[in-house]
Amino acid sequence: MISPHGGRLVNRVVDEKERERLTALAPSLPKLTLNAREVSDLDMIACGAMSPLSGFMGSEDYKSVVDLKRLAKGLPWTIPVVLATKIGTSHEIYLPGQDIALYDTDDNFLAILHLEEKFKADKDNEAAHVLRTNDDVHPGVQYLKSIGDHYLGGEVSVVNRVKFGKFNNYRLDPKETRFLFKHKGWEKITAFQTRNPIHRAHEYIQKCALETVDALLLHPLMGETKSDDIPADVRLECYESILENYFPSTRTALSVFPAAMRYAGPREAVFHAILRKNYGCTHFIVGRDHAGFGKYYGTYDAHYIFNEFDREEIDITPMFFDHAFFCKKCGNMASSKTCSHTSDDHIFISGTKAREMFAAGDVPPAEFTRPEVAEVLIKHYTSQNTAEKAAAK
Amino acid sequence: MECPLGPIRVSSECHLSVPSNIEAQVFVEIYRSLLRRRLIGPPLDQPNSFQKDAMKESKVTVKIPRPLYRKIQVLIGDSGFNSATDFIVFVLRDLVGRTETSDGDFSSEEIKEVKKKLKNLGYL
Repeated sequence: MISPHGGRLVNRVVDEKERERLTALAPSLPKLTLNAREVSDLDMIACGAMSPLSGFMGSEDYKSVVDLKRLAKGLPWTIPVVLATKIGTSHEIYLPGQDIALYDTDDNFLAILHLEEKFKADKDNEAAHVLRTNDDVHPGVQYLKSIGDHYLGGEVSVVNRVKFGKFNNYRLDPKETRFLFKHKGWEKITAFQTRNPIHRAHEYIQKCALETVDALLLHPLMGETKSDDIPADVRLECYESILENYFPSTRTALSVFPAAMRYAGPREAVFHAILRKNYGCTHFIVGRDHAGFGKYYGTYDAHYIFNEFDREEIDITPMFFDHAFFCKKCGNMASSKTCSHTSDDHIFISGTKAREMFAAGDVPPAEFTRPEVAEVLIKHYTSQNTAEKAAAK
Repeated sequence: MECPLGPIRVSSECHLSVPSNIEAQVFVEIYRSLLRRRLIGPPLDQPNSFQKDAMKESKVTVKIPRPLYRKIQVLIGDSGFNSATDFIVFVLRDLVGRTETSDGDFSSEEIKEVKKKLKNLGYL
């Protein structure tokens, strides 16, 4: 079984005795309410998905990650995992050495932050390095501008795991996926990250990958995404239908990945790979424009970034795939690596065109998307249209 | 001169040869630049002798009675298993896994819970 990043799977969930003590203590502590991304991050730190992190980053790790794509001790890590607070609100009451009670927006008590350090974020530098842009149009930049200017660093003791309203049956912690893989005897497992419904191109690269490993973990991201991304429950219905009809059930597993999207392109690809290693996966599929947004990243930048690290220090093996499509001349799914024909022979439907077709109740060609997936998406888009029309009246 | 980063793939048929008068470090810089621009591929994975031995030993042949093999072929029918071998490996892994998963990270109660969760998903 592949080792977690840093060698040990972190567990920051306290035992029952400590839980009682901290629950009693919490009302007397300064309080901080976390946003959706911070709640996701906290939960992933709690269960070891973010190993070796045992809390939110301090300034040393933050600077090192932003500038060098590594934690201060040298381990590869490409995305800052930080907890923000705003000046002029309750910021001044948080003092290093204090314990702070962390709550979600529904006022559920989640954890204690053992505050070690409070430091000013360099958001311009963070955006320029991590997102490669300071453009306000980028959702990552928008997020940075929406949060406080100071970050709070320190270990966390998680008292109550986050109560997610949906998909709880599909929520498997790293130690649970590791248990599954061990139990099934799977030695080589590839993970597929997605925040979109699965079309034929995705299915093709998943199956190409599956040809060379023991199993596929379909690991859709279910944390916070852009408001115009397809809702998580619709996506999950697509995954269920495609797995039921087109994948070998003996070699495939579906579980949700609770992270929030950063839209940080290549850096997020490495981040996603490292986290999947913590889940016990040995391979990770990286397609075109992984975790990208608009034209901010080159189509294959998420492939090249892996060259900046030694294979041993990342450990999980990236599986790179080019743009895939159905080629009429080849008569099968192919990619720019394997097809010699021109784009005139390729069946390609843009995202916008596909959305228009689904909204009109038109089923796209089976070479683009499976009919079962089309059915789910048509239902979603037509009900969305009906709701919008009703709201307009 | 041998490439310090291992053999370089220009195409499936051709390896890049390195002029002997280029310093190793200069070559590494050129190579990385070409790699960044995707003009060449990454170093080929060439298994060393240890890996070759490991690959040789990654599978073994196990003999089972032919009548049993035929029964398994009938049994798998349209079940999704591609071959009797796939089915046998699946069943054996499941059996062996059951004895191996007394994981130190879990209490016996937690193991029950995890197994229940995974069974509900149809994975066990």
